[in-house]
Amino acid sequence: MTLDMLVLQLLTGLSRAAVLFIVAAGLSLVFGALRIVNVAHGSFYMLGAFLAVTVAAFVGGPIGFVAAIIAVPLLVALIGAIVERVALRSLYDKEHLLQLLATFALLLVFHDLVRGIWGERPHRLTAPDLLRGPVDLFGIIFPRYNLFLIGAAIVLAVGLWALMTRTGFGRDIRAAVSDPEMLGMVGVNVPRLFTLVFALGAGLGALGGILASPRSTVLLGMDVEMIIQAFAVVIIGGLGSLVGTAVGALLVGITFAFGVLFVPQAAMAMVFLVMVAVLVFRPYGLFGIPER
Amino acid sequence: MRTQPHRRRRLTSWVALTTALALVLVACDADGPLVDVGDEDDTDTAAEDPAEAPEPEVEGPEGEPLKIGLVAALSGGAALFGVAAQNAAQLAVDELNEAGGVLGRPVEFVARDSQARPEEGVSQARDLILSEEIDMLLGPVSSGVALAITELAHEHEIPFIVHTSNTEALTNEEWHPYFASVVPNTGMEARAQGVDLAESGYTQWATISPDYEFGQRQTGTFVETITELNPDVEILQQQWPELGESDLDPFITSILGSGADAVYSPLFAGDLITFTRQAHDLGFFDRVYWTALYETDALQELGDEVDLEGVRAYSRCPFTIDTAQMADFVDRYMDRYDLVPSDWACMAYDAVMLWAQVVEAAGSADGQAFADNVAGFEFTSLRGETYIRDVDHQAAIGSYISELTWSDEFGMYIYPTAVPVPAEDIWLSEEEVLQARN
Repeated sequence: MTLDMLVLQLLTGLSRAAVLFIVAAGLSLVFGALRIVNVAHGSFYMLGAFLAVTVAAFVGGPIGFVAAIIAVPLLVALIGAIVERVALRSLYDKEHLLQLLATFALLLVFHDLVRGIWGERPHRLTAPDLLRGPVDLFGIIFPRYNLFLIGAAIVLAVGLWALMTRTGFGRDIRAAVSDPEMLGMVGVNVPRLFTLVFALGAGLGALGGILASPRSTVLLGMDVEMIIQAFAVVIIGGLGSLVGTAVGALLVGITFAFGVLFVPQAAMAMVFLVMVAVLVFRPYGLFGIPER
Repeated sequence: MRTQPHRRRRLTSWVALTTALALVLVACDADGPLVDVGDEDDTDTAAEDPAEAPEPEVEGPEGEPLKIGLVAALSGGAALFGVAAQNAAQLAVDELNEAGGVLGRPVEFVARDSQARPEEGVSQARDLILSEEIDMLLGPVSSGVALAITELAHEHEIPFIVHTSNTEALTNEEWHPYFASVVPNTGMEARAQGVDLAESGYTQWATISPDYEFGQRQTGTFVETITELNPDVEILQQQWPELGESDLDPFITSILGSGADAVYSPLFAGDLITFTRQAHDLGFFDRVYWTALYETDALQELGDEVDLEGVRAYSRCPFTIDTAQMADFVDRYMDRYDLVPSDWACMAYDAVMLWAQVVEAAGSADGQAFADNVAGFEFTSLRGETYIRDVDHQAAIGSYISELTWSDEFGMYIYPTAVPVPAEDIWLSEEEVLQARN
């Protein structure tokens, strides 16, 4: 086992973590502010990928991919906002079980919707040539696109951090995470804030789906595959914590990559072992706020 | 107020519960439909749905029609293989009718959706047998469904011919005289590869396979065969990604680091396409010898994206097999559906034609007459002249292995010389089959 090999494995773990972070950040935001266990978050991820295929084909050329990255998250954010208004708003005071069932129903609805529109066939989203093919990093062959993914996740993490800490909107979200009723009392339009947060979360899910697609296959079922890992990330990191999500994504991505290397039969089990360990020692997640 | 103590803890437990439920869901899904390989049949012809189209008024054959039933995954992840089989069977039935029917009687075709679920498959098959009174049942896509309905066919003495699902259990322990197979079974396929590659000069092998019944069985048999034939062969690493895993990078880099100089894989369909793309970007194909199940659908989907020139691949029924029958079939299929027939389409067509030829020879569409006549039956398939072996009603059809080459005509990589490893070299001996049944 050479050092090169370990570095390469680490890099594959990082690019896995990049996608996980983008998707889980949306999940965690919604979680933190709305306290909704949104199973349908995976649907936004899948919807983003499929819409991107259509938008990219419609616009055409390398610009198509860029157009998809810009337009599709906005479109899915809009869909998210509608979903929040229509399906979820009346459930905030209800039991968690009811919310869970509602978002699970949405997952099924979106699955059939995607199948109805795009069919059973797998689709393909092509990145511009600039981002394709292997690149030689001091003797390590690594996909150029994966470097782009890692970069995109870092940019997004910084952007989200700035949004949360440097803007009024971010301040409101943080306030909603700790006490939404108090927030309402000081005059913030909480229902509107919730709709915006949900839209932002949906947009992030879609962005994750778009960014993940050029290196794999756009197909039905990618929603469920992603949501499980995204939940693991959020549980490890702590509800509603951006830093926690980043750390959780890194832990899950890297644990998986080295799991594959050292215990091929149980790579995914390693990820869940980490999750269980975190739950045992810090039930509120690594960066979650402990109970008061 | 809202943030009472324990609220968060409860939330966390809900999330944990949800995750656990989702895991169970996925686990069931992965173990449930034993899809044996197949693939998206790059087609939108599902919309044409031949089964639902009105039967063309065929002039010629008269009398009580003979009925062929198909129970296959026509929706869900395996739908496109089921639809390919449906298209091809419909074409075969129409051709039989144009040629005057079978025993002078018209032939009808009914397709039902198994949703790749054994219970649903059984219930649909039962309905076809009891209400539609079919004379022959075509096999499904998934081995799980096939195992469930082969018993039903046995009970009702209905000829049951498999063309896609191919677990060796169908010809071994679950065999019955009304059964026949026109697809090489998993054991034959994997042994063919072992035989083909034992003396390839590569001895340091790794494998990467989908983590469920089909992948495990096929990989197990391959490893057994190649290590037995060539004691120098070592298996350095075995990787088992989940079905549908979208990020295979860690698996690929791990294999590259294992020091293996050759890699075997029964990945298929979407997983194989994903693997091929990701492996290319990691310089995989420049560093190891690689062999995998590139069937028509995967090759069509990949186009010229990745250089696969010279890759030694294996397939069940490539459309480039050099027989007059295949050439004709490809023309007719392309005329009608506007795409090259996938492996699944070719084999479903063969299944219908085998049945028609047996029935003509027997002079009766009776189940017992089929069972009596199919044993040892010699027939003309798209893959050339072949026969059905007595002991397990397995067609003597080999596994096709050759080096891929680019075709401008089709805009995809093809099998230029599709020569099979003969069935006689790779199937279990009659004694072994009988032994497996006890």
